[in-house]
Amino acid sequence: MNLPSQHLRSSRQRTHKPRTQRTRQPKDTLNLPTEILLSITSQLPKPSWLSLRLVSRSLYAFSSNLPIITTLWFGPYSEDLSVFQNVCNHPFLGAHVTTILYDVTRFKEFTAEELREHWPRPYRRAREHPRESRQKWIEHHPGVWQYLKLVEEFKAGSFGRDEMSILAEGMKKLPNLRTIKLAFAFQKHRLVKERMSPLKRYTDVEYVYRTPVHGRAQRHLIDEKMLRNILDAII
Amino acid sequence: MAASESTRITLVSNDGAEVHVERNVAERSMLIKNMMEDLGEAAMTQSVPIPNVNESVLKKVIEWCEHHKNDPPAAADDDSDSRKKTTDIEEWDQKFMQVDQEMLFEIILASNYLDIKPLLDVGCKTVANMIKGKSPEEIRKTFNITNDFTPEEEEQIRRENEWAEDR
Repeated sequence: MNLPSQHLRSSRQRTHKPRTQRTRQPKDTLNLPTEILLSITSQLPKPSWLSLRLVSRSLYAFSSNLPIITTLWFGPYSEDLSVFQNVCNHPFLGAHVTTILYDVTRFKEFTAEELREHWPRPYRRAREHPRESRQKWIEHHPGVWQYLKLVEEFKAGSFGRDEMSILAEGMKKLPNLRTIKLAFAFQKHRLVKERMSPLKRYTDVEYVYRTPVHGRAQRHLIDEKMLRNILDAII
Repeated sequence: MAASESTRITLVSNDGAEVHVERNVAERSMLIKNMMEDLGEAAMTQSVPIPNVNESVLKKVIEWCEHHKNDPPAAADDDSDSRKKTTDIEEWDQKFMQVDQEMLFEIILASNYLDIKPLLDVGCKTVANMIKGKSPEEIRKTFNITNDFTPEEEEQIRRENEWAEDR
């Protein structure tokens, strides 16, 4: 069999297209001028933008025009930091970022005993079951377990190392950045509710903040030194 | 004013067909309207070439202009958000847009070229409605688009989309 390649190609095409359209080039119909695609996508919600960029290379290239990520989370958790850096280093995703949400929540590390003492109802069972072992108590209180995990993750994150240089490096690559918002993860009615917090998976932890704990847990404040660092980075 | 409304002008499509149309209908197109103003009296006697649009598409576009010839002019702040996020299309326009995809895209391109914003808008909304709620694979099927990504590229874009979802 020594068929010319041209013949092979056209016969293959025919299997996809009905006979009546044989003379017509198979056409990528969404191959429209950018301004028209933009007015189509302006009618669509973000999930549709995300689907479109998975359709074909040309639509992926077009997606560089869409403000897919406008707000970027910067927090002390490795996952958030890696997303932050990935977006900053991306060929075009960083171009639409206008706002950084800077998570300035800081945790005090409690011992399990302190937690047991201060953990609010309905989780505080210390008095009811004074003999419960530490491990058992933690197991029975998913919120506590999550809190300890969170503190662990926080300690393992990069804030202790080079937070400011990561932030400053990233900011240089965000040409349209205008605002840095300081965010407290535990402000229930703002961040948690709007699902912007990386802590949304740990909603039980809110209890620590919501109930008075003799001034011990409420250290989620930004101090002068931190603010100075942020201002330095912005300028 | 009354006289000019009944004046008929002749448009010539890119495949050489002459289409006669009332001037005020044709002037739904800003391109033609401006041309008329530039040409003045000469426009009444000469035919106007429309080099980017073929006869069937031109007739279809004029059908739309005919139906909408008495629409009030668009408000100056028509680009505001209220217009942007709604994909509602009035019933007559919906029926008008029930054409094969090739015609639909030709109408969009023609209304863009002829500068008929409300028609362009209806066309874009129609396409948006065809995309809304669909998965990438369903969009490919709808518009007959070939997936030209490698599996690795696809995986990478999925990851990028995850960065966007939470934010």
